Amino acid sequence: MKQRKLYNRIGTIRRERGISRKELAERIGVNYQTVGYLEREEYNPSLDLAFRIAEFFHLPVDFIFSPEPQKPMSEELANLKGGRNG
Amino acid sequence: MAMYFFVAAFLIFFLIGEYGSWTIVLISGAVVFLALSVASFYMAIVVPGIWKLYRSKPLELDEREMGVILNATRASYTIFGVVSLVLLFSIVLSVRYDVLTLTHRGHFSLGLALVMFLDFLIAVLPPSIIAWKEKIVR
Repeated sequence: MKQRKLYNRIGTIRRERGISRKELAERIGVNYQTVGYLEREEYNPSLDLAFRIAEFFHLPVDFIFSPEPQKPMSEELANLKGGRNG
Repeated sequence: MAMYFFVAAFLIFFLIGEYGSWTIVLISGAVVFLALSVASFYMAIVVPGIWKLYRSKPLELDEREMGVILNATRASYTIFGVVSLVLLFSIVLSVRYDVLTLTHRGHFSLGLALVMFLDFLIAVLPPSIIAWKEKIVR
């Protein structure tokens, strides 16, 4: 069965937090080239790796990964805030 | 890809030299292509870290790297199996062989039997290993 593409925000979150690919790779226990593959969405991680990434960023897995193209983070955060206020 | 071309060119020069007579052109050709083979292997495989990756123990690899090595090993196994069988069949058939009856001087050839056994092994070994290791629940 052909694997479906998973979209993710790893690159955006990593850059926003000023972490290098090498540092992220060391913290989640993969080669830094694998981080590149993940950020380019050329590789779907295992469930274990997805959780390690989510735990490292202290974010829910479904905020980082999605089977559908993701909206920009600012837009999603604004929606969340709007939802709370309203 | 260039590395395989250089190795093939070296082998051609080497075989012509060995089976004919070595001339200065053949010697220099063989030396140049051997040097190019080594250099291209170093530049394409060693420098980018692919050799180190392939020689690493499984515990030192992450999940994507293991997948990459699994796919490379599967493809290599298939290519190596086909090339070995073609070469072995060529060697067996080159020994004054009757292709139609598959016999050598009226007797079934041991060489052919070994090639057929290898053919069987190449096809059956991977699923056999899976059958030994997997718990199949019906």
